[in-house]
Amino acid sequence: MHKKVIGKTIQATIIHIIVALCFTGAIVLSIYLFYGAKIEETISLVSKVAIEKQKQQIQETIITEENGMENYPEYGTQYATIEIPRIGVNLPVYFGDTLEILKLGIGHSSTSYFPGEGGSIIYMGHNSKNVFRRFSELQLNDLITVKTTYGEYTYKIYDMQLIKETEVEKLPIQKQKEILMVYTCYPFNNIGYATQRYVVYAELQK
Amino acid sequence: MIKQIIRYIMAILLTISIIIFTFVSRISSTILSENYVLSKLEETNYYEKVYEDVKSNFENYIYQSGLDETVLEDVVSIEKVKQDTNFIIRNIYNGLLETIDSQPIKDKLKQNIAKATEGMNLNITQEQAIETLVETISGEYTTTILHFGFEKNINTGYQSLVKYVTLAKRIALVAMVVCIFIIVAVSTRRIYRIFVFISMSLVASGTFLVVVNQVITSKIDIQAISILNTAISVALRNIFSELLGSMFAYGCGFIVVGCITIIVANLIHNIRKYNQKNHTKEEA
Repeated sequence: MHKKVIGKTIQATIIHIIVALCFTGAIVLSIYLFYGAKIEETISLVSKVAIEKQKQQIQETIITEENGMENYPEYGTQYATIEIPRIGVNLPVYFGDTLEILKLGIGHSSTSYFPGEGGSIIYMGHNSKNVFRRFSELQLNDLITVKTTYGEYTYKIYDMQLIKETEVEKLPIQKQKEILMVYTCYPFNNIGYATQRYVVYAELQK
Repeated sequence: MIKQIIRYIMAILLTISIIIFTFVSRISSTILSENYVLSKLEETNYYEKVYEDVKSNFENYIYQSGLDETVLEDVVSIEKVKQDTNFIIRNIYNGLLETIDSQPIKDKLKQNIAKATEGMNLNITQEQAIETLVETISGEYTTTILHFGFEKNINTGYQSLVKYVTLAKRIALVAMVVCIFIIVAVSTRRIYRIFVFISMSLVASGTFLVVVNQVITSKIDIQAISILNTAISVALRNIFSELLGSMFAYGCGFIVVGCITIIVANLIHNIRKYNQKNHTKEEA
């Protein structure tokens, strides 16, 4: 009796579970047929928002550019030092321009090129005592040296301009000529909120 | 035959209703619940992280202002951050559009700056720059607390979402009751079928929840979700993980309960059938 009953019970149970799985399959298939594209779209959108990878994406954007370098520094890491002998500056340069980075030293705008790539390089720093407080002492033909983890580059100042914080067109991104643009807030000894920027333009010497 | 078809159709509809009901119930008791979200914020040290962000943003403005960091002393506290964050959450969940009061921050900052610049002969331009700095810092505070510029859209969106979720929950519940009623009505002669069909629906819906969970976790790295800042990201990761985890747990529960009921129902049915057969044989 037992064997027969148990055998039949197992058989019926398996059939019922298979039927239940068929229900699931049918529902999944229907959803996929009707909403498959939308679901895929949503998942890829959410995956894009799963952006610990945001840093990598910024790097990838630059890497895909023509003549890009092979190994870019990770966003937020120091990859160089900047030396401006005239004003006694010798500071670390970090890839990125968040307020957090600017606390540590000089920031490198992630939308600009790297030294040696032959394009616009944009650096920025606070006008505080330990950073660019003495920026006003800079003169034309002064030298700026950027020592990176992959080479040393020297730039000569050829222009200095006072711009409004909104005049981004005065910091153009191009790839015809290697130009280093370094800016800080103006006035240098201001008290309160600074709406102007003092930009130093320097071209590559060696 | 017709009864059998009706049973299968009802079982599929019951499966869909269970899935919708489970999903909607979990959503309304997690993401759409004000108390749940507030408890998660507390659990993930959200307020502390936001407070750190606020302090850090303030410092960045002070660095470029020519003022000393001491002007930030007692300008903002973790209690104020908590109070304002909860205020914003309540705004969202209650459809209100009240704004954060940043006046105390402005007042304290002005007071500190006045103390720090005491004795300096400030000109009009510098006074205006200080005014702008105070406005910018208090604005930065509001932005850091709000995180979004579209609070109004979230508020109205939330209200209509709650309406639809409640409606979907009710419809799913009514559909479940109707399906079970029809299955019972067409299976009065063989009661075991009632249990088997309802259990099949449970197993099917459980499997669906488990499969969906696996698909989502394999395609999206929940722990890598990073939105706006660390505080929000950690809270969201926690909420999503818990939501998916509970869906998975419900799915597994449904499968286990469904399988056990199918086995028991089939076993009882087969024992009865066997006894009946023996009884008929003995009578013969």
